[in-house]
Amino acid sequence: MTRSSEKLVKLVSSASPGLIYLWLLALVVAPNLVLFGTSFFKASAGLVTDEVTLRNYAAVFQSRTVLVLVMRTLVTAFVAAALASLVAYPLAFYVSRYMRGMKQVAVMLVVIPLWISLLMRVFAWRVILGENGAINSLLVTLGILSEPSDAFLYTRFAVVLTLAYMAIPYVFVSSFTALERVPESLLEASRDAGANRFQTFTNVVWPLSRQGLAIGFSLAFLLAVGDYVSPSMVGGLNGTMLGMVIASQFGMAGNWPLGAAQAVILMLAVALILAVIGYLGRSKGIIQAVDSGAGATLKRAATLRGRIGQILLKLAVTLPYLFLYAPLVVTLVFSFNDSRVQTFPLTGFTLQWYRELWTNTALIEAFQRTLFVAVLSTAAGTVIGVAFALILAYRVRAFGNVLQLALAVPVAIPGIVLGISLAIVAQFSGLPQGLPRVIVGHLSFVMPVIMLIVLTRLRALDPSFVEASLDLGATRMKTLLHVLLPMIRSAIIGGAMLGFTLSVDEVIVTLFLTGTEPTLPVYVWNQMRFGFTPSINAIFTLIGLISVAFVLCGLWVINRTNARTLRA
Amino acid sequence: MSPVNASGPFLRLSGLSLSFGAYKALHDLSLDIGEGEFFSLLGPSGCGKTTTLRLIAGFEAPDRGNIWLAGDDITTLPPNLRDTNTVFQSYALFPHMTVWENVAYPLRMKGVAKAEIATRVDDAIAKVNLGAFAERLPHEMSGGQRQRAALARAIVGRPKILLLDEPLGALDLKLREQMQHVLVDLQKSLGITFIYVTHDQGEALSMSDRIAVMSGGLIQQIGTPEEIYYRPANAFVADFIGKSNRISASPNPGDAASLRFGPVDIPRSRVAGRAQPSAVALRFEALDVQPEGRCDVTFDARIARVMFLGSVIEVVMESGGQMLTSHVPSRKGLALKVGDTVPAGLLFDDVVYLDD
Ligand SMILES: Nc1ncnc2c1ncn2[C@@H]1O[C@H](COP(=O)(O)OP(=O)(O)OP(=O)(O)O)[C@@H](O)[C@H]1O
Ligand SMILES: [Mg+2]
Repeated sequence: MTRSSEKLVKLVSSASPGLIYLWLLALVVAPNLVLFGTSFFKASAGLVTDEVTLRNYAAVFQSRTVLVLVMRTLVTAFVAAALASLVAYPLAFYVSRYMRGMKQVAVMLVVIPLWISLLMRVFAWRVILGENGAINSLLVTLGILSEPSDAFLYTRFAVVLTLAYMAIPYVFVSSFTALERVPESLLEASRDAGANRFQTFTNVVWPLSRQGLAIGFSLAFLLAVGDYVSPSMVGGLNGTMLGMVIASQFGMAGNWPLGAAQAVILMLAVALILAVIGYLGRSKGIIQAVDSGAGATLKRAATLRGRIGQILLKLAVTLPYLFLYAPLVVTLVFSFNDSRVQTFPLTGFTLQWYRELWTNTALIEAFQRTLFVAVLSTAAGTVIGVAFALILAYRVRAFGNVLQLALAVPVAIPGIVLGISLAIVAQFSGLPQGLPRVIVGHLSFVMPVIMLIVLTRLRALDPSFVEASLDLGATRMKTLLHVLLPMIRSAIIGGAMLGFTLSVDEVIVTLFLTGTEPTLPVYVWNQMRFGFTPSINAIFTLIGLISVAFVLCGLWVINRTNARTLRA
Repeated sequence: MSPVNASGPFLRLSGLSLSFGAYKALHDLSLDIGEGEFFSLLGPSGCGKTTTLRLIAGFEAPDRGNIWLAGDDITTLPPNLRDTNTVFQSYALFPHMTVWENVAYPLRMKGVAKAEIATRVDDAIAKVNLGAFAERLPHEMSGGQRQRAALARAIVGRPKILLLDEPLGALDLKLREQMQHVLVDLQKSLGITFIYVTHDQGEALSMSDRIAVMSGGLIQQIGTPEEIYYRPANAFVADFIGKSNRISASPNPGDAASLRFGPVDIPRSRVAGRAQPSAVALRFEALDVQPEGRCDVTFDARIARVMFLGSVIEVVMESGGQMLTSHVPSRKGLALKVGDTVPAGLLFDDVVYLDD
């Protein structure tokens, strides 16, 4: 057994629920309370005074523009999430029910874009939609348009498209997981009872998988509502969203209390909508373990009979993938294009941007910072997340679910609100500006993600494993080391990988916490506003390729260990 | 593909073959089942019982062969249009529906009127004694209760054929026997054809009108329980059903047409008309110890082991260099001791000739 896992065990066994309360206080309760508190103070000349007032809320409700903005933000986010669901759920259904050999690949292909910088993908959309972009070039070349149109970029349509684009993988994974848990035997039982495919779907598949979709939808909605990076990049004036206005209150406008009030209102509206979605997506009953496993018959896989139907189906399955990969292809292509401006048509081939990478010290430093932050917050997040998951699963009797929910709050808060509330607390706490704040900020959402994944696995474990081990004379410590950890290893690895990804890619929270030392996404964000070097395309192409290789290796290792466990 | 005429069998499987990749799960399986029959498929794990049921239900399409139900070729008919219902090995109750909703499901799918649904569902639930559990969700019930709910859901639509896949597999002995009675009574009162899959021979023997014994995707024998038990068609059936002594046999050196196994000679008149068998099977209970009734042959045997099994005593003895096992009623066998030499006997009719 390795040294590090021994340390982990020591840490966990000495941990008590008290640690959870401490964490909650510092990273959940305090930021939200402070944000809430700030919204009740009067601002004057860019400073917060000690005068208590309701004026900030009144200001929100009296301003038509702000109210319209709130509505527009919610509607935009909702439409984007709905659009993502319309693409992702049917795709997940198809992959889960009708794919066999290519299933894993199909899933990985949807997930891989998550590993490639979100900023970069949004930026690529700008290149695709712009006046000199891919769509316009194509339409003009085909003669459909006589001259490039400006109808694509800097519109609400562009914002919705980009937000939906970003959300698809999340909705897909969540729906897919739920669909995979619906046993084939239930579908057969339904057909046996006389239901046709459509009735089987509405009566059995949908009620048993809609919770997964609801979770994915909520996630998509949250990401969209708290985003201000995409709207400001592709939205222009028409696509302004509340997040941008709130951010400006904490920046140039310098009215923290007003920004806090707006954030609180946004948060409450989001909570309300999520509650409704959660209610609509509620599930009833528990899928029994005995139902699962039955071999699915795929002989009757083809739903649409006939050749035309088959072609249409293939096309319908391929389109989402084209949509997912279009921005990545754009990034890759422009990393080899010998022009400083990102417009079509392409001008020529060059490796210049890759060469420039090595001389751009600011870029390299930003990259190093990003890695530093991600490694530290993932490592700490993994240790704490596993410890908390174990405590919640085996130590906490009452209120376990409440604690779990409370710990997950930072994941469920719009990014902009989380960033601002953490920034305010950090200011009070005296934590030095820069990387320490960024690391703590990332920890606040990386830890819960890892914890939730591990906890889900722990809850699904047959408790008799632990009992058997204790019964066979192992101490608690040895049980943990030899029984539990090996069984939840893949969940830990998966959680850590997801946490790492989230950290590496984070912009919004980081923007509020970082000082003069930008991480890579923040550096890119600044670049995109104040002059852009195509080297950024090059570094993201490299990062993309490396992470894909990394993911494939990871998959391979997991597959191998799984195969070994099965054989053993 | 000529249609079977009206007087033909109710359900006919003819020449069904099915492979999973390179693995042949069923080889050229043919079977006729009559209307209202309680028919069992019996065989060891993996022999293709579930696969056969799935073909009849329509979840699987055969590579070759046809299925006729009441004169119609249903080989390619999708499961929702077949007049068959299945009780699944895993119950497959819809987890998000109460027992009542589960049972109502087939009727709802058929578009039966609400009022009729209500009476028929209540009726079906009462038939399986689940009245008190109608509003429970599946995960709030015990295995036996779920079992009965699955049964109610399968019979409520009054299918022509009910397919049951080891429906009692998960139950304890007591509940099992109770459910066996429920099933047999139900089948008699509903008049539905039952096709019952099991690997428990006791269950098959006690409940069925006829049994098909399967192994390796092939049917080994079809017959009434008595035929299967007393006249196994081959070594596999003899081994699989009940407990038998398997004894290698050889021609009697004195009379080539008669047969000798262990201490026993069988005269040519009893073996006549058969190819020379290489072995015989003798049920444990067909070998009597200290016989009181009529025997065709008796011999002395030395007792090597005695084991008390409850209603019977298992006696292992040696005679003429051959180990033989006998089951004698407990009362009669209590006095037997290891080392005793006792008379043993048998009837020629009980000897089963195996040619393999
Ligand atoms: N979907 C499938 N893919 C590959 N092989 C299969 C599949 N379904 C069944 N088999 C194989 O076909 C054979 C027959 O399976 P079947 O389920 O009919 O057995 P069974 O007689 O019902 O056994 P049991 O008593 O264990 O339920 C088995 O060897 C099984 O491994
Ligand atoms: Mg089976």
